[in-house]
Amino acid sequence: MVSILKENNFFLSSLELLGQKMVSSSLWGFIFSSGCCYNKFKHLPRKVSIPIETDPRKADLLIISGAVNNKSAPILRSIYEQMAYPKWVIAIGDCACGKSIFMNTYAISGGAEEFIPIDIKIPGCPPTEEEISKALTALKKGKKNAF
Amino acid sequence: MLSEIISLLESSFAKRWIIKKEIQDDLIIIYLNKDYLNRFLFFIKEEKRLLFNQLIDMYAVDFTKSNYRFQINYNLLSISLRTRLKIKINFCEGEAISSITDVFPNAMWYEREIWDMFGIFFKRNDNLCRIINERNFAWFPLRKDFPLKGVVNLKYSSLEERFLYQKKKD
Repeated sequence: MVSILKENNFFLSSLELLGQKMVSSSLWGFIFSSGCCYNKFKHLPRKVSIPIETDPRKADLLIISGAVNNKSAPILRSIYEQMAYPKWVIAIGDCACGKSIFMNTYAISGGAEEFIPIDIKIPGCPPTEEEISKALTALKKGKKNAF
Repeated sequence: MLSEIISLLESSFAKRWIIKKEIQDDLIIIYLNKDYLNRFLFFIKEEKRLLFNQLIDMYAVDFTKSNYRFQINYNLLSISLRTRLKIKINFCEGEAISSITDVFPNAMWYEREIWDMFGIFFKRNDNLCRIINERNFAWFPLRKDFPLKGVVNLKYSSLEERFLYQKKKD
């Protein structure tokens, strides 16, 4: 795009491609973590990591790690409903995907998928940093329902 | 050192207060009568030769015996004497224990957790409500007759846009 601009004074593109490039380079993430998988997310290299936003109404990406309780499920649902479209959800670790050792107990009834639609699940206990960075780059390239 | 502490305790209280005493590897264990709990702890905390002024932990055990079902343990530490003390209380189901928040204010959350998990009621505790489970949870999970996998599941139905409870099978 930059080389075309230097030769002529205009370039042609489609709105979808432009929109995808713009949104993929500025993703703000909201943390909802009750487990230990977020420690891996914190120490990603700077090329792959995502800045953190503390207000759900201004965030694009919801990061879930750790099992979802019966007590915190309504809170998770209200945070998801407060986010504006377009929004994406990532579930990191086995507990958030729904298959952990805490699965069949009195306080936990499945992973986060029972309450929220999830885009990308990253299994592992905990997943390695390479797997998390691969998932993040795939999210930035192939976006559904962007525009 | 330990024998001096025990002789002090024996001489300051009447015989019906302390039921039994044990020593296990530098730890003193006292089985106490549950009616004299607050006065015993207040004396131990303020007496200058003892000064057990830190409540480290408090937990409950469920033995399913006929004469005494529950037992509550208190762990105390004395920094000046560098010793630990353990106090045990035995009682049946349905009896209420007096709260120790006037002596040790950090016992508030321990008592809330014991109420949430076992169903043991503490008198004169101003804020006795559930702390770990949700507010309308109707059972006491850590008792021995509670099923291992729980009783209800929580589901969200996107059609009706509300949360539902379902009973778990077997």
